[in-house]
Amino acid sequence: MVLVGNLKDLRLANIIQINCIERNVAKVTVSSHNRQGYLYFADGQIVHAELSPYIGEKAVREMLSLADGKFKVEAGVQAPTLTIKRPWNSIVLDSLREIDEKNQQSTSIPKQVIALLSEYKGVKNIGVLDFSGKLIEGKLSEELNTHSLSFVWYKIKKILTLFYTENFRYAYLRNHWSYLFIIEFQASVIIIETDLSIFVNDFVRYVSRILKGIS
Amino acid sequence: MIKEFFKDLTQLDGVEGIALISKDNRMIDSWEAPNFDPKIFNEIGINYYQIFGVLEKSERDYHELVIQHEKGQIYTRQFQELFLLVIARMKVDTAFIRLSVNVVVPDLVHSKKLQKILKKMPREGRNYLTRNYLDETEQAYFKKIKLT
Repeated sequence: MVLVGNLKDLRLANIIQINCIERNVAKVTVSSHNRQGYLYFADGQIVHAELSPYIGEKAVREMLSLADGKFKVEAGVQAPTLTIKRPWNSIVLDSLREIDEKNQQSTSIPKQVIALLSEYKGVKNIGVLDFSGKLIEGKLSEELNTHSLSFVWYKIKKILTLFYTENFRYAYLRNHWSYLFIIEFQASVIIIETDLSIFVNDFVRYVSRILKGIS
Repeated sequence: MIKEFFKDLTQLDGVEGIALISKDNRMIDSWEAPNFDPKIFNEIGINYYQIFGVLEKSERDYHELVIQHEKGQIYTRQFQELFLLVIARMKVDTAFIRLSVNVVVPDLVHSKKLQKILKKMPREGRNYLTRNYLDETEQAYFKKIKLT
């Protein structure tokens, strides 16, 4: 049996609830703005989720944050692998709480990040992007295309799935005159351009401390 | 070839794998520590081709990408015809990897052995920046980047 619909009519949290309470073995496909995610259910739980570049609980959270899109429920489809162990209701509640907190904070955080990080000697430019590559706050060199940088962030996440991890701490590019740091922070990607005078480990420690303080 | 040129790195505790991959996504040579899954190298090359391919448009000449994640680090260096990948645990100092690579690379790139291998490799001239090699999300990025 296949059921299709719109997330505006039936929220994903409700779809999860129905499938878990009824102990369905099912696959739910969610499509929104060129992104496609999958949720698998068995024994009254969510057992696996994918929304590239995320897998597991993070993928569930990302899917729950999608405001619009379409869904398709296919009964009897087994999960290809098991990536989720926590009870479904904890995952949904935690995710919704995190999404809510993020929405509340999202307006002021980029400004704080830029104000605090730009004090570091050697930092030239800072930009905060959303995952699609839109510049939310800050400024980057003209020749850097923000969508290209988000693409690089996405590819890094994809590379890391080969290592069975999705949590990257940071990445940086280097040429003969600068570093370009790519750091995922909450629902954004922070891009920092520095000169080569900085010590990477010291700088990263400083950035971590600042970001920890903000969150 | 890796054992010959990167002996220091292969003997360093914490280095798990090293690979030389041509920009045609063909494995030139690889070395792995006993517990490392070599299949990773087969799937990883195309991603780097795409990353550096996109960045090339910025004319920033980025030649090095270091990814630090919760289980370690992936150091990548781009050369004219190939990528060098070093996969290591967190405890390995990235500066040491960079230094080892800097010392060895001039000899490696100009070595007759490497040139011979590259010459023998079939060149299909594939462009991995086209739709066939991109997932839907990547295609969406490309529409905004305006590469396709």
